[in-house]
Amino acid sequence: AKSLHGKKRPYQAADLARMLYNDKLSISEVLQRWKGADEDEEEENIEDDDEDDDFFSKSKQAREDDGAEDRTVPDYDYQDLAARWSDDAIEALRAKFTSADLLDEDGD
Amino acid sequence: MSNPNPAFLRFTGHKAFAQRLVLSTLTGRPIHISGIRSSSPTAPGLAPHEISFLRLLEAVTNGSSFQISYTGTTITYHPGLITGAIAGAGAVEGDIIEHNIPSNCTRGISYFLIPLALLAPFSKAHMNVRFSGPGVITSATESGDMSIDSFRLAILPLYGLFGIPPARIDLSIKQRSCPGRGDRKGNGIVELRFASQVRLPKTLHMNRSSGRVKKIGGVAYCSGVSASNNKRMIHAARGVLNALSSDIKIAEAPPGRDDARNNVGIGFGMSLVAESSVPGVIYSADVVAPSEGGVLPEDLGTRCAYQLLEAIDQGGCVSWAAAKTVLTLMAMGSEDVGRLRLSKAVIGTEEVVGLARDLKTFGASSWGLREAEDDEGADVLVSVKGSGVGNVGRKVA
Repeated sequence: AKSLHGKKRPYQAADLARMLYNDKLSISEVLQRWKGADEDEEEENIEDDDEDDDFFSKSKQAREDDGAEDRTVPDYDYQDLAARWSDDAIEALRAKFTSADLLDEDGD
Repeated sequence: MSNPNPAFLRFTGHKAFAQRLVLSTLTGRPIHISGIRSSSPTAPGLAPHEISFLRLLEAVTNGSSFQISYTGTTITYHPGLITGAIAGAGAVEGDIIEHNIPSNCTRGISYFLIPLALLAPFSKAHMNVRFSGPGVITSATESGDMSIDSFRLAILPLYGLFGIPPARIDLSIKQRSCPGRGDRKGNGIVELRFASQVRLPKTLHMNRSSGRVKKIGGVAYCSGVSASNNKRMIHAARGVLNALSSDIKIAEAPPGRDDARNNVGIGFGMSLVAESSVPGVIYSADVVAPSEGGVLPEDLGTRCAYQLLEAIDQGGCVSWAAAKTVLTLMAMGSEDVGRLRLSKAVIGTEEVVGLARDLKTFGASSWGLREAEDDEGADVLVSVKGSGVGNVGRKVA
């Protein structure tokens, strides 16, 4: 019931299309909203951190500088990746390979 | 073009620097970038690889000019005509432009090759450039550049989809190199001969399913270290991938005989490329040993395999690594609407959204986005209208 209650579904193409060229939003804000980070939560946080405003803006700046520039290879935490790609996950990915059982695909 | 002094397009920040310069050169609009690392206490202003890229742009164009402020945090750039290698004008020996990259550049050669390849189809003459010097690193780098093998196997084939025959693009690696450290850094030699200049690249329609992965290829390379590292990386990568595909061919690039004498950077790394049954759908992955060493080749092999699985899992017709190239060519190509199916994980990245905004700033039309209907909503269809930038009739810079 909670999921039905007024919460927008994240990752809708129309949402991104609406925000894509909205220059009032920074790119990271656009992505955050699109990924469905709760907007109310964000606002609350800002209220809480009113006194730490200076600190907050600094950390944001640091984060922006932090981001490696113009990468073409994504940066992964390889321990996470190794944990993610257990045998089950690899079996689940099999559908994307030609070695997969095609009959199964036809069934659904 | 008609207006001799068009207004500068203004940008801030150091991100997507090469991409903005390329768009500026293609569209002929001068740009002004401010705030380049202005908040950095240690290294404000333009980085060495960015200066080197500006020099490269100057060499392959005629009439470009740029002014860099005293602190290097602000630059204005007036693009010129993309001439390529014309004997006597820039090309020093024969028909090739020599570009020397100094040793303080730590980015891989693909940092230069990917933007250069975007300019090359629009050039007047063939784009022949030879990269040499201590800053030429053909391997992947830790700063996130893909290796030259991934560029050759996963980016260059995509040009064929735009009517730019890859058969006339020749990329030869005369000397491989890895980042290395100390005195032994880089020192690779790479020649790009891009001989397929087109009047107008056509757009592409990749709006169908991305197919299934048919085969996996790749290259394991090492320089200055034992060739057994290659075998160990390949063995580990196959340990992960063998379960999924029976068609795995990973080539080995052995260390050069004269690596020590040529002072090339020491290291090893791996590039994996997965091809789908649909032509043009290619996923790639890259890993490299860090320059301080201390990583087992087995670990690198499995990491590379996992990274490839991650890219395959994201799906879409174009992987994140190639998305910027494809979307830029679509936006610059013929005035048609092209459609591209991208994974939500790919389009939901800062780089792709940033490219969308940059293209809009340069006067290209907005992208249309909608859900791809036929599956469970993992992909987005992006419609891009080309802006008809051709390489004929551009007489004035």
